[in-house]
Amino acid sequence: VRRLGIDVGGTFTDLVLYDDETLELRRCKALSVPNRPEEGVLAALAALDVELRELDLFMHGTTLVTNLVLLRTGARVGLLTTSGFEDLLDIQLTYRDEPYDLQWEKRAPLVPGALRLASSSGSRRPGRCSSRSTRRGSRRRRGVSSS
Amino acid sequence: MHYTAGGGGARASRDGLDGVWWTLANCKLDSVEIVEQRFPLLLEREGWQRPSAGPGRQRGGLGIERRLLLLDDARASALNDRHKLPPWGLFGGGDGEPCSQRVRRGTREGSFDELFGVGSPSKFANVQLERGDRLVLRSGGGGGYGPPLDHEPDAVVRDVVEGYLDADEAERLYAVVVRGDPGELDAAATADVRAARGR
Repeated sequence: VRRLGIDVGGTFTDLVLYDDETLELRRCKALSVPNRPEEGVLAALAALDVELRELDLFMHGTTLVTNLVLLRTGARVGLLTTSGFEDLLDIQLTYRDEPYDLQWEKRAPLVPGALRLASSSGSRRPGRCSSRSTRRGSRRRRGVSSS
Repeated sequence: MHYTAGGGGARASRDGLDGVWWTLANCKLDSVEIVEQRFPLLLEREGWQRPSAGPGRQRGGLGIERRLLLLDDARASALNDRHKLPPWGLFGGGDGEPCSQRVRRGTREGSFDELFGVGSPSKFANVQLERGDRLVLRSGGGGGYGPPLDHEPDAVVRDVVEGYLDADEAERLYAVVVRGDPGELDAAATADVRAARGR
């Protein structure tokens, strides 16, 4: 089986090719092109002279989304959410990444408060949509404990 | 079992953390969906308790409010603190809002002590609740540090824009005048109000 894996990062696009039978491992690195991630992929494939039709598996991953979240370089976005839960994006997990660092700060939410709005549907009531399945689920699993 | 994170106390050089665990530092917030799948509860709100932060040169953190509707009969027990004595401010900072847990049954609304005579609003066991009862569980805000009138006006405006307090509260607590929506600093009016209050 010939497997090929590609990771598109913010700076480099890495490619690894592995053959289960010959145990041959090949790899190469191409520069990523900002806003055109496919170009780095094609450049890496060309550099290794890979015939796609000879591959059994093509795996593709990217850190572009992670980078976007970390660097906050994406578009300005708003959030429409269930009424009563507009703050949840800001409340986050109520967890401190560094429990012994008294100067630690939470990360700002991806969408600021002024751009988080409640949808007006107001449909979360007993007997309707999510709450109906909630009741069935709760009976079935009453023995499950939760912290 | 229900834990709620609360507001951290203000720090000497930073605001208190909003809605975090302090004593149980490796706990995380239950997701609304998981709570609703495991228990006969409908969450009607999970959000900041406003304005719960104790004012100060650095403000305390915000507490969290959770509103629940019981979809089945249940028994409630509680072991909480800071319902009567709020988290205190330091060096001129104001107290945070205390914790509370209130019940509404039909037209009656009050603390567990007021409705069920359990002797304490925060510590009781095996109170029988009924389907249709509503609970409002609030965790406290952190105490403030230093005089609120020394709070950086721009930081107050950021809090207004973020929705942590409204313009009236900004003027009352911090003598900062915020205009418009989502909010901009009125520097001249702020200077006047602060001067009138001795700053």
